[in-house]
Amino acid sequence: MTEITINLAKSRKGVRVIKIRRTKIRKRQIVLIGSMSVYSELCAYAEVLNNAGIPTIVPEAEKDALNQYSLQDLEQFKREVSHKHIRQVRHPETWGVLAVNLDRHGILNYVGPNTFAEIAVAFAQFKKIYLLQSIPHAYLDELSAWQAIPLKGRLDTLIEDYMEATRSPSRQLKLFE
Amino acid sequence: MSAFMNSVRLKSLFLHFFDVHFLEEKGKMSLNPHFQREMRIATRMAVATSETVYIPAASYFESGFCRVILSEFEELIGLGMIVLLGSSTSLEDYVLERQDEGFYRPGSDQHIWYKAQYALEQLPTYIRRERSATKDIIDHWRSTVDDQSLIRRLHDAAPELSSSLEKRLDIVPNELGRLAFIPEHVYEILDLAGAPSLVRARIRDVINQGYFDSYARGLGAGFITDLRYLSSTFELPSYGTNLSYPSLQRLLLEKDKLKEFSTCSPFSLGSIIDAVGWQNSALPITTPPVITPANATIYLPNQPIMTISAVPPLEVQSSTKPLKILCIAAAQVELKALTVKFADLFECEPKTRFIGQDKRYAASKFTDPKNGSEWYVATLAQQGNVEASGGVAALSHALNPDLILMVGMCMGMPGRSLKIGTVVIPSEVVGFDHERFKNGETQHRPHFGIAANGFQRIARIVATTDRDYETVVDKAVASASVKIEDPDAPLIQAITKAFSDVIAFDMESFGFYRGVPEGSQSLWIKGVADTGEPQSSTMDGRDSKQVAQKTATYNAGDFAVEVVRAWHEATTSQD
Repeated sequence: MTEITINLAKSRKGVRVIKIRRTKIRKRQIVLIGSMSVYSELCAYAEVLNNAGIPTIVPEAEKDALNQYSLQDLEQFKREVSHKHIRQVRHPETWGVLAVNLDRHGILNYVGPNTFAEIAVAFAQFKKIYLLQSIPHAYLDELSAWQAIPLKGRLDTLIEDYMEATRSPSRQLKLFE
Repeated sequence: MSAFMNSVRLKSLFLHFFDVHFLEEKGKMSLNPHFQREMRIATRMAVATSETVYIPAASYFESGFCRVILSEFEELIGLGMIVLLGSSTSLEDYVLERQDEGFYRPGSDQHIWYKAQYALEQLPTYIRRERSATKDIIDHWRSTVDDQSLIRRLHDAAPELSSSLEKRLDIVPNELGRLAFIPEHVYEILDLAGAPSLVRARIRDVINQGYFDSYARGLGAGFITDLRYLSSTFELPSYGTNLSYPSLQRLLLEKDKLKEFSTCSPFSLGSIIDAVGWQNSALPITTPPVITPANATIYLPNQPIMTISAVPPLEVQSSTKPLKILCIAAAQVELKALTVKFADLFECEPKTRFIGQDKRYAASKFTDPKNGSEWYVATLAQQGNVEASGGVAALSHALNPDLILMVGMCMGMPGRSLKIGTVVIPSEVVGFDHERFKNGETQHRPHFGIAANGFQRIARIVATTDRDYETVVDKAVASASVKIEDPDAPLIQAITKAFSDVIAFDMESFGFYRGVPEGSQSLWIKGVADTGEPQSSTMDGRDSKQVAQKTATYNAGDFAVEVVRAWHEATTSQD
């Protein structure tokens, strides 16, 4: 999507020129959050959203960090990756987050400490919060109060909400066309 | 190698993550190099920290990852540190049995693989399991159905699921018949082909958990826990000390040994792991079992692991579940006498219980106060071999017992001089229901059934001690669906003449042994009540007959309890 800005100015010769600056407008994005143990699911759900026309951000893969780094380097790497991803959650273009909260170790709809922290950041930044499965019992009070939306494994609700919420800006842009 | 021999290790670890159904849950993630690397390092950690590493034979044969990773441990495989487990007598039989189309559907990945007959060379040590994984999965499935936890998980996944699903969950074990209890077969029965993936995943979790529980319980083994890429969606049901993957990995990283640990020869694993001080680390490298068995290892945080009793690497050991016994009494008089006898022996009144959810079969339930064994005394609709065969098959399917008994009274063969009340345990049964009428004469077409199994052998050992009644444990029993009230009946004469080893006759033994599930521990125990005389026409004669029938059944019931207690002791003893 492109926004066109028109500036009227005079050249040094006094001739009026029209300067057209094209600014690329990014569609608002959804950031997927979850641990590395569900990385394949993160990527798979990101692909589903992309196919529906929704830009997504997934955490950076670990590459071959363990073989290359000492413990100190590994923790530095993890810090950087975490900072980067939290910046994406807070980014103004981020419309919401999708937490991929699969069952884990017998806990249904598991939300780990990292994921919960990222959800908290999203809440603080007034982002929409979606949970792939249901709200885990352990965080029912918090996540319910933060209006997290459980998707029960289906992305339909998230896609509809996103389309509805992002429709208005595109209507407005037509005035300039 | 010396490090392996001299240091204190965990007794056993069970590697669950090679299981193909577990891997299926991971989807495309299994292609990720981190995933495969974690598998490899976890296997190295298991080999380095435990005395024995157990892997299901199915994982070895069905998972390419497993075979590739284990190929690195070729030198150690010969030492028996890595052991494959299966229910067959040998690995060759294991493969052959799985080529049967009744086991895996033709066209399934498993069926194709076993048909291809992977070359059976340089294989790890193999140990035959006594426990049946299928039976344990069925028990686990039923417990999650009974306590409603499965239906709750399914409703959490998809609230719109049909209400009839709950009833259908219950029929799954029966509907499967001889088919393997694997997710694909269960999806078919429950019509879940188009169901949400989360619903299917939760069905799969119950099956996988039951499967791993079966192995870990029998072995008293721990798991490698807190894996990242290989993390389990369900709680691993460990029965031994567990090893925490991230804690040990962190310790290796802290000591700058992870790279060396990942690439060294298998023989160096023990010395590296000891050099980093894994047993005394402040990190929680070992964690206690989820379920504590009687013979577990002591777990003391931040302390060396101390083994308090050896867990033998075989699966005939303690189980937290009580022994479940199906005891069938064919005739009403036998049922009545057994109920009286058991109420006396177990010092409790029976409780009437349905077997299975469809309420088709009922039983009197007793609990043995000596060992907690649960006895279900059930009867048949009619007497005879056909009813015995069908009845025992149906009751076994519904109850899924550990031991199957038929207890009651029988006829002693005329001329064999057996006292009334003598208890008979057959080593062989001969069925005489197959006859041919030709040229005015009846030709018998006897069929034979072997009654010897582990349970029968325990009975023979028990019979070596003296008691108030006599026991015969090494002869044959003849059977036909005909009531004998004449010692000179042609059938009896024919048996006496041609089968000198036959010591007793009844109407159900042949059908009983035909009907019990293949490989089950089953035993026919009956007391001699008569020698085929006709019913008396006098009251005194009838009373005397009833006393003999009760005595015969009481003795059989008494001996049955002795044998089951001996079985329980043999399977739980740690001597």
